Amino acid sequence: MKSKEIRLCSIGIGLAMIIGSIYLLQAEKAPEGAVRTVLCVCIAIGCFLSGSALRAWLQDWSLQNAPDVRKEIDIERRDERNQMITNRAKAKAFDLYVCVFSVLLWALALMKTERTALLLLFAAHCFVLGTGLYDRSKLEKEL
Amino acid sequence: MKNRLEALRKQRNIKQEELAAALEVSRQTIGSLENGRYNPSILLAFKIARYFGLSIEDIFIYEEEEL
Repeated sequence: MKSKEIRLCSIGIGLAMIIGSIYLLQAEKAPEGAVRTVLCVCIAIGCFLSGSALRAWLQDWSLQNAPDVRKEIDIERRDERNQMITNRAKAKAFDLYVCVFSVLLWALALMKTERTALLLLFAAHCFVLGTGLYDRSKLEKEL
Repeated sequence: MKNRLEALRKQRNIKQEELAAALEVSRQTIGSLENGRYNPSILLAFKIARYFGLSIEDIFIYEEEEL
């Protein structure tokens, strides 16, 4: 699938998730508990999907008549030194994130924060750490 | 690792911007390479060597680190 089609799909799916979830939340028999949480998560995911795709589309559109600027941006993006700097900064931020998020989770648990919110944060934390482990093992096999 | 990039570039009257454009890297990368602050990947080293028509060893000087 081309990147343009992927973007359109992302915008469509994202908007559908937002509209569908809001509709269900506003319904007469509004869902409660876990279903409500899932719908709220769907809205957030929908916002992220459509927002990031729209941002990429707007960037492409604004550079449509400026091939020189586009080439410059492309070179800056692919430049190996820039990539190294970005990756190192990201790695440092990830290490910091793991510490900060772990401390935050403990603090929220001790503050007796609502269980659903706490579980959501814990699941997100585990998802990020799991993705890191998965990518590491994949790269170990590939390289 | 030291290199002769700056000397070679000046010898041929090439601007940093021109070299960067030819190698498809940013001008900052060329500056960092010349200052010895950044060591290139093997791919970029080959590109640079090919651009100047020299071998990698002619441009980059490997120095073993003292323990």
